[in-house]
Amino acid sequence: MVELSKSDSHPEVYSKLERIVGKEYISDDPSILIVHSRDQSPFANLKPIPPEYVVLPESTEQIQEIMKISNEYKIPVVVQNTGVNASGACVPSETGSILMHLRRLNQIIEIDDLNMSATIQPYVSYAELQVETMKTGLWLPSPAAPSTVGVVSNMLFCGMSWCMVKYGYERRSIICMTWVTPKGEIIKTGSSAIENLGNFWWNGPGPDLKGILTGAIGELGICTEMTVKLYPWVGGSRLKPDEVAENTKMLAISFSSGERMFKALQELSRADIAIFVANMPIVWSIMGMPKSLKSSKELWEKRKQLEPILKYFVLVGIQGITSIKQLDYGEKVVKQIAKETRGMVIDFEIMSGAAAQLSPDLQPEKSRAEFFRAKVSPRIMRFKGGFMPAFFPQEPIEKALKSEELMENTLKDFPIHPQDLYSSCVVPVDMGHFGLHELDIFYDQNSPEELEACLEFAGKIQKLSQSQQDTWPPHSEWRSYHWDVVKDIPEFAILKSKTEKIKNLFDPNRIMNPGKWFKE
Amino acid sequence: MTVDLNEYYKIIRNCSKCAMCRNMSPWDMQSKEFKDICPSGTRFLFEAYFAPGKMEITRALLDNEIQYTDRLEHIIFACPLCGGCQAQCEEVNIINPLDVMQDLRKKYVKAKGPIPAHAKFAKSIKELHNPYNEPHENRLDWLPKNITINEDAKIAYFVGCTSSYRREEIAKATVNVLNSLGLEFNILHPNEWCCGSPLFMTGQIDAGIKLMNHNLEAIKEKGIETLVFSCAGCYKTFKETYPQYVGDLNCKVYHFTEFLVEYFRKKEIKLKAFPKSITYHDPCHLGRHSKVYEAPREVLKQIPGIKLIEMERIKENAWCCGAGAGVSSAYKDFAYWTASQRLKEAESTGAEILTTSCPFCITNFVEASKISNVSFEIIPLIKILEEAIK
Repeated sequence: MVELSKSDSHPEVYSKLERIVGKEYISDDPSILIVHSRDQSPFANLKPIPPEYVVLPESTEQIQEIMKISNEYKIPVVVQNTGVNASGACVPSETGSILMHLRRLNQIIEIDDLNMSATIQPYVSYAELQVETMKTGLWLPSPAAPSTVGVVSNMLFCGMSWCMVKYGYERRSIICMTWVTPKGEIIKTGSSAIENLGNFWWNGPGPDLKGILTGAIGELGICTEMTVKLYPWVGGSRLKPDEVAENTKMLAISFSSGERMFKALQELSRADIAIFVANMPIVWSIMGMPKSLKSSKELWEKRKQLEPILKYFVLVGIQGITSIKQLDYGEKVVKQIAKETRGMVIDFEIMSGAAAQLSPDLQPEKSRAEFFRAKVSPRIMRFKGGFMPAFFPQEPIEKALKSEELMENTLKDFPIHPQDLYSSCVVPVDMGHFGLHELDIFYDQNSPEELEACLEFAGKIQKLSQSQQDTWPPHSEWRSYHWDVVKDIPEFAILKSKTEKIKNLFDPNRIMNPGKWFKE
Repeated sequence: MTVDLNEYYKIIRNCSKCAMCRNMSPWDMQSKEFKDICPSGTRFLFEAYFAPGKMEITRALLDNEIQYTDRLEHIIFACPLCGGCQAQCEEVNIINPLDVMQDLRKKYVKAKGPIPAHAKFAKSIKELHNPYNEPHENRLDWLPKNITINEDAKIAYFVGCTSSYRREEIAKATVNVLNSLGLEFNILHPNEWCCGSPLFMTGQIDAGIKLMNHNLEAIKEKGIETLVFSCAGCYKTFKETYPQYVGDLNCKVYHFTEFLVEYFRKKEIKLKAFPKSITYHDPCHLGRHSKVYEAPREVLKQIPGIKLIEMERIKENAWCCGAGAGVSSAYKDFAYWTASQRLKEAESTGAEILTTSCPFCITNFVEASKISNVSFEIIPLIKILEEAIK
């Protein structure tokens, strides 16, 4: 049972907040509040806590005013943007909070096609930004999450796109930010720090402050405006869902061993011919491609037939960045690398046709659009309702194979699931500078035992990884980074104590999204 | 269809809050301006008004975490049940939010009774068999004298309350078209009662079932084998809702556009040119609820001279007119706001005419256009066909 109590100062605070945002944009009705008590993460589902107020500000100035009130009364503030979040980061961890929803800050302020950038408010999603920028021959790759996610929040949470091999981690595309601190002050980063200079340059004078906000899980302030870098797009002004964009070609390569696959991943990454290169887990293909859950389940039963091809399977998306003529060269390079690493190149069309034989409502042709503007990725929730990336190491790519073994061995002791309900994928990042490895667990939202088991497992594999692999689990990813998961790792405690000083500097009253990263 | 919320509890909890249900499909999206798909959430902004919020509210009600309040009543009923959320969710996570919302209304009515505006039309339906408080004996006043009705015909035209009392031009055009094509048809009056759509859609299920039983009995008595509808709401109620309670109706059910497409396939009809640019609005009850998207477009393609210019949000992605599921009776401003958003989109196509195949949508568009100042005409599809057949 969740608690829906009101504090003594409630009427006074309510009335002050109402004066800021207007009567229509504040509520303390239980039905409005309860919605914000949990998300799909095990963290929030185990301890649902509704806020005391929900407010919908429409400007930076209103947000400043709200922060002043929250400081005056020492009320925690939790910010929710598009709310596409499975980490418990945007739900209260204390009672009596103000839930600030950014839905009304939803404008694309400017698309600067000359300087290849866009200035947006937080509630603008990737899909929205893409449809408008593609009209001018520019784009920003969509994350490997639903394209309904807000660009600003995904970047601040260190989200990633399928196109990381070409464009790096998404937050590298941040140029300038306007940021309201927990004390209600405004910080502008990059060239926007100087009035009338424009939002064209990343680094302002002095330290790079935007690095502090990214990865802070909403604990150091609220970004109300962001300028992001855009990239050339010659694939037409509209994404055609049934066709791959004309500037893109997809190839699949199957390998007989993990060693060969990882070698190919390295070579493909550094060749700089592809916008995405990924070892796709079999479970994702099976969940993502069929339209119906029934077909997914039927296909899952047939997975043994697919394993010889899909166990060590790499998808490569070649893109003509400035001209479609680049595709021919890219394809030659991919085929050469496949030959050298003894991989079998499979034409995507042939593979799609073969897959369609296995299940009546596969949508292989549409799955291609997923890499540009993600839509069906939430299908991974369909099997059991819950999805937790339990382990998210970023590591030098040569360690990926060892991580794979660690995951498989650790999963043998996982108490609840059949062995097959997990997936793992490897995505080279930044032209092969490092790789992202991901282990996902699918769990039953309705089972507290499974929720607990997921958290326990996540903690266990983090510790094992650090002791056995010497990898870097505490990367800037937010999900495995959750304090409940990593609290027993000594290095984390040290890191936390050091970063506490930053929290205290920015948020002396500790009111900004408390308990998500910085914890007393 | 409806679901039993208690049985559905586990599925409700599996809503991943991916937010796909807030917007049209990202793969089909063409502009930021016309990307929304949920009138309720887009207008009232709080997350509780979007489908994931309503799923959470349903769960909380089932877990006795919250009680009914005025705000909760508004959240439950200020929604046209257009099914835009469900169309998106069907592609992704299969939570069926529309079905859940319909059952949530049933649960509300069981606990608190219908909301006042809905109780008002329910009373009218009970006493006069229509929601407009009009005398039942006037139901056929629109019927032109030159129209031939064949009492022995196995085909019946189910007129519906809106075409009978508010959009008589649609009823007249429908019978004119049927007569012009030489098709013999019957009418159920005086035993045509409201189909029950307003009741089923507002959680007043028992009253809706009484109407269903009456109408099905009337069809049986007259030996009707084929029913043709000019109203998307009545059509959906017969095609989708009734069978949930009685199974097979033993009667073929056609929206007039489907009926005519089938007819045109069998017989070649020479139609007069109608040289206009037209944009077509998919009514939710015909489109998303009944999956009829192509038939109206096929009918328009049959008419020479018509240039069909599609809006950005069409078919599964169509933006609702805003009137359905008791919204126009209880929350008129919201209904007009929703319609005005669609009128804006229609205006952006540059078409000379906005057409659709539902009298309820037409009514709401016409009313909203009085506030919105649009530059195009709003003409029912059957009226365009009537012109072309003359």
